[in-house]
Amino acid sequence: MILSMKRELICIATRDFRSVIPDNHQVVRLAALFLVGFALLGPFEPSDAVEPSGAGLFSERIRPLMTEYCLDCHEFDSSYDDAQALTKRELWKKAYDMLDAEMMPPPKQTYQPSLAERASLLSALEEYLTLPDPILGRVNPGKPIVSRLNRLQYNNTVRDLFGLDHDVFMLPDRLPTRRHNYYAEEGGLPDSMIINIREFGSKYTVLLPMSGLPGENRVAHGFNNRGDAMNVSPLQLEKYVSIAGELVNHPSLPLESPRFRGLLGQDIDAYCGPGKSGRGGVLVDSASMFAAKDNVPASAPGNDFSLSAFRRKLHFARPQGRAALFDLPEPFQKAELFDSGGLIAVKYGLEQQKRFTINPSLGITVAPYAGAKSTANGLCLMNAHATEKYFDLVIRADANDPREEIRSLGLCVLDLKGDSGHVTVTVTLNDHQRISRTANIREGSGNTFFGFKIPPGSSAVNVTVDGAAYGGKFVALGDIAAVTGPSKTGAPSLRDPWNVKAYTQLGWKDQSPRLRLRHFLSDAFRRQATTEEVNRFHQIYLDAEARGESGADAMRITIQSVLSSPQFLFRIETDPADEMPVRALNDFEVANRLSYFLWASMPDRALFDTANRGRLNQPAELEAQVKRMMRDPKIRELCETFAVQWLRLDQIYATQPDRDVFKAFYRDRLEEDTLHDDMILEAVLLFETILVEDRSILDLIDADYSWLNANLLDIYELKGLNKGLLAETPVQLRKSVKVTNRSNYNLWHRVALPDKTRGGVVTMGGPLTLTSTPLRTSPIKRGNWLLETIYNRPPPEPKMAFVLKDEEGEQASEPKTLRERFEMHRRDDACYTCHSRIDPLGFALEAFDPIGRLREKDNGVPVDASGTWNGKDYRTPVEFKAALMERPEDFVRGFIEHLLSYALGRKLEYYDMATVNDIQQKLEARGYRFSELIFEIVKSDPFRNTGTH
Amino acid sequence: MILKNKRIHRRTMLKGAGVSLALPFLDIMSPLQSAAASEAGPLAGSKRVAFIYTPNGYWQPDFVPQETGTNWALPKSLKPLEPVRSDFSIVTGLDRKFVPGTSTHAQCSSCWLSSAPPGETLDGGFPTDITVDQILARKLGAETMLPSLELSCVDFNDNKETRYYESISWYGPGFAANTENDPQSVFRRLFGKPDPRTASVLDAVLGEASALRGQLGYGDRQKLDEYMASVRATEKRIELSKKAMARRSEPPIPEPKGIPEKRGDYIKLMADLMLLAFQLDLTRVATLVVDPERWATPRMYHDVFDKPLEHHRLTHSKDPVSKQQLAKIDAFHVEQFAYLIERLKQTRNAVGGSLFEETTLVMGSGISDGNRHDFNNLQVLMSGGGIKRGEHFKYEGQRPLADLWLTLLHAHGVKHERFADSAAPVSEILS
Repeated sequence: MILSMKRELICIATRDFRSVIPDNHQVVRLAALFLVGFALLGPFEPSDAVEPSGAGLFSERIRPLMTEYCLDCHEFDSSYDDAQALTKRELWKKAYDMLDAEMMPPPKQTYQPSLAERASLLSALEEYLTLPDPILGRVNPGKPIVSRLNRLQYNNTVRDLFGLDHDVFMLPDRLPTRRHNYYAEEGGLPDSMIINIREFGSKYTVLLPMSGLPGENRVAHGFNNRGDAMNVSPLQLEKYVSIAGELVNHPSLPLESPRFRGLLGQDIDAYCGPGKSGRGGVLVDSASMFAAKDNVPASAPGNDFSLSAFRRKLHFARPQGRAALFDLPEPFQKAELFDSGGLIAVKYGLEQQKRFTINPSLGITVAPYAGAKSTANGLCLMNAHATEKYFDLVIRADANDPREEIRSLGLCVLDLKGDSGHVTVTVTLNDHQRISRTANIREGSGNTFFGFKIPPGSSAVNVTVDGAAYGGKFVALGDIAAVTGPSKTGAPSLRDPWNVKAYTQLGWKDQSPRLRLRHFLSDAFRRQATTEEVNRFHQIYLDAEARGESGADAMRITIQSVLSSPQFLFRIETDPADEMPVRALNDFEVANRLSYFLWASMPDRALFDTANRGRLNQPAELEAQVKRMMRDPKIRELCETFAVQWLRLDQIYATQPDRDVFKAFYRDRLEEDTLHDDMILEAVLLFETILVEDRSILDLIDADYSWLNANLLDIYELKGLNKGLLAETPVQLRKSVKVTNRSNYNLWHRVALPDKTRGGVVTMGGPLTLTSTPLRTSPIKRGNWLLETIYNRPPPEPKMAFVLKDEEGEQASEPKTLRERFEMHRRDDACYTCHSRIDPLGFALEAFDPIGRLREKDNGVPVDASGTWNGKDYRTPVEFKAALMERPEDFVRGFIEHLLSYALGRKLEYYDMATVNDIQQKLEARGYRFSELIFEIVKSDPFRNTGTH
Repeated sequence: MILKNKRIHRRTMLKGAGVSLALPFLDIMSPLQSAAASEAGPLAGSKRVAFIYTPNGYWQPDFVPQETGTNWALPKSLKPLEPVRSDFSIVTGLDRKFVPGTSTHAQCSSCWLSSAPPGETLDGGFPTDITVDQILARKLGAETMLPSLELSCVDFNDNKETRYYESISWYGPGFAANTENDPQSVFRRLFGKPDPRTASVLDAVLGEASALRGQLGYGDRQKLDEYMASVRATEKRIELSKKAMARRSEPPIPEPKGIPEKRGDYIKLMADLMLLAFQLDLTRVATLVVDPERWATPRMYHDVFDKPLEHHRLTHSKDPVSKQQLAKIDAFHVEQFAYLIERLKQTRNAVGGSLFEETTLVMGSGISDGNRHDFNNLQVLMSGGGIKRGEHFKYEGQRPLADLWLTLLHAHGVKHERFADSAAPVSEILS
């Protein structure tokens, strides 16, 4: 706050906190000497590019009032005319914000503008700030993006580039939830959900578990995707080069990524079969009969077909080369498989040319049928680590031809001796649809068959086995088989962003290295690669070959170079041909902005194709793409990145309420099970509900529902609801409730709240906890959090340390509440300006203790959570929230600004006010629906245009 | 007419005849070519400098000696330095001007080594500028594998503060040197075998960067310039590490496995790595951030307290217990400094001389009294060769911290007339 800076300088200059409000003008004039560079005393260069509009706005409506009320303390050249003042608008924006927040003139000063004067000045300033730029002749859309991919974007981009089903390395910023379901594609969340949580910081499936990149710090009052804040230093560059090296040389990458294999010019057999050591895969012949030994008496409820019907399907498919049956033969060296990214390839097809592949996630092992009746000759698959009864199998109909689809899928879950319970098998399709089936496998009921018919036009890409509700420590799979067939559209059945044409015409393997590289470069650079670029990278390939590297290794070095190149690591908007001061972004640039905004990743094939057809400059097409993207599971990044950073939820794990005082926060004796996850999830789920169900963004601060589990019901004193909620929970879900350790805490309900004490992020446990210290609440942190998060009007940093009086040991005759002590502090004039804003918000939340429980007393004294906001008095949280909702537009503006800043990857400037105002007006008219906000942002001027200088 | 251009390797060109490159060069990371030997300052023997940063100031009553000169009693928090009583000095009373408008704590760390004056807020309100270690690195680091080494013991996983709170080394305004906090990565960077393929990758990407640069507007080139300077620094490091490898068959210590559990072990391990890099002449300038500023996350100080404490919070707590705890944290950090001095004294350089005499050690914090965020009367511990040892230098009135940095620059032959807001060198601290 530059305008406020002068006052701070006065403090520094005089070293006297109490003389901040100067009582004679001499001090002010003196202090102005410190202001060279801040004050508007510099020479003015007139611009005659455009006739200055808004004539009279400054000279008649702004200057007189500002001279009257501001000039005493704030120097500005009051002789400026309208055009001169127009070039100093970043300063008027600061004046606007201070006036708007009623922080200036200082609240304690008696000489104040009347309400009418303040309103008039504000509206004149607003009009003035939204005028076109005099040089550009239009509103400034801001500078072009030149920004390094941040850690999350890098991970996601590499993941999507190679079509991986998991992260490249472990990201500390990933939420520790184990969910496949984001309901994005279904347009609505159910009323109850099972959400399993892995321990924060524990390992999860990634390609490079031992590697990673340094993370980005967030920007003060902003997000960690801000281009201006991201440097490259030698250390960082070395990391990029070395991680790209680890990637291309990783033994699992060719197994997991058909695209990578294609780039190397190899098919799957190069990595499987006898003689392949290390983490290669196994190549086996297709079995002749599904569950040859029978022993499969049970069938999962809801199966699309019976076991015998499935066998008939396989029988008829075999002569057509469309039946793939996996059964691991003995003897088998289990060390060959399944450390991470092991692979099973099943040979089938008329000429045994097809490869049905199964890629198990980390932690699966091969075991004999001990404890179960065997379904066939060989071995079964089960979780390698006891109690980790949850695993994924990535499946492909034909690893060598992505046009082959899976039409039906069958598998057996084994009945293990001594154990009973429910096992859920979920098949994920290439269009993100899921088919889920749960069977109750009681001991002795026998092995259970699961049969899935895949809807026409789709293919199965993933099988998830969830045995969380199964009794013992293991869950085991017997045979797996598929009936396959060629895609009717000829399109690849995979969701990887590959070049369809390249596939359908030739297939990667048969293309020349140059052609393979050309397609890859365009994807990696997220635009059409130029011929020069293709030539240069092809030369790298040729050079490596000339040095004696094999074709595959030469390609590895080339890909490592691509992944270390500035075109890959940076998002760069450059158009040298264009001499205009402002230009419309081209379609690829818009596609990139869209995908990094919504997915924190590269555009997918559909988006590329739309860009390629030059259609993204049409609002209707843009809207259609956004709608599609919002239904893609990758939209979770908007919840997990934007929402988490916006609410500062990433800091909650560092908040540690005192273990002795706040036992309720630590759920078990070992104190390992805390409420951190629950509190993050409640907020993330609310955000997700609003996004997926396209609700009003006002729900974020004023909802009549919230997502709660038993822990939070307890903390919120709503325990009484638990029984009823459990009764309403679908039987299917109730059976997945974890009974060990975290009894039913993985079951989440959308709870209709009895009153508005809760509902919305302001009174959620998460924000209330992360703004507290281990032993007490911090009304200042809470007030700051509200001003910054809810209103996007963070108060300036305090310039001096404060001292709470009675802690100085002066006297403490009777216990004082925190509030009383702070109010003594607030009497200090220097502090009052900001604290007149911070304290009413912070103290309203004194009704909640450091872990977010309602309380009546603090330190033995009744808490006083009363105050006034937006002109309304309140005494309780319900009344406080009603006072917040007196002016929902303040929250809406703040939220638009936060999201726009995230979308543009830059700080908002004064000239963005026009866009924010415009979006706000449109939103008001359309019920504040979330999708409307997204549409308006992506259709906005600064999102689709850029300044060129 | 179009000539079919055969691609010429940049490295081939370099080998050619010392041609000057048409490529832009970001001077902040390129060591001065004529450095080291030529124009040595008074500290001719001392060629290595390390800056150690501890956050949130010091608990003053137990840290600042009462007496000045050579005859002074060790205050409580400095007691761990008793065994090396005559090997260090303390400088007190130096000041830095606070620049209003940004967080106090953010400036403690980010401006400690630059003392950037208020006028130079080139980095969006933050007065960051090239730091004294980076200026020294340009002078001393010309021939070493790494011009400088930036280490930290900041292992917080939460994204709580901005980079200003944990960066003390800056290449220039707004351009922080990243720090390495994983001992294993440091080890690999210092002693790892360079992958022969990396050279060709670097070659390739530098070509891409310069092709791209031509398409950018002037203002947008900065990010790419950082990238290109980084590529060059890495190329140089690889070249020099090959030479260093040739001189030695085995890494000097076994590879560390991640971050040690105990706080003290962690800091000592990082100090050891720094020492090894000095001893083997892999670098001559290092910074170590022991902990970041503020960062309201409790941390465990093993063998000092039995439960995690939050350093920053303690600085603002008034009860006597907190003051005791604060003093204990200070003493804990001082103990690490004492360890470094002792290790240096035990270590021989390549020709059998004392590494201690060739090294200047500096430890300090960006504020003095943490509670008041006092940027005046800072304390700095100094040790190593060329420094007058065993003394307490106390400065009264307004004496800029930049004077001390200017003195170090002069001592190492960097003839700057001024550094930041410096007035005059404090030459009396040199022996």
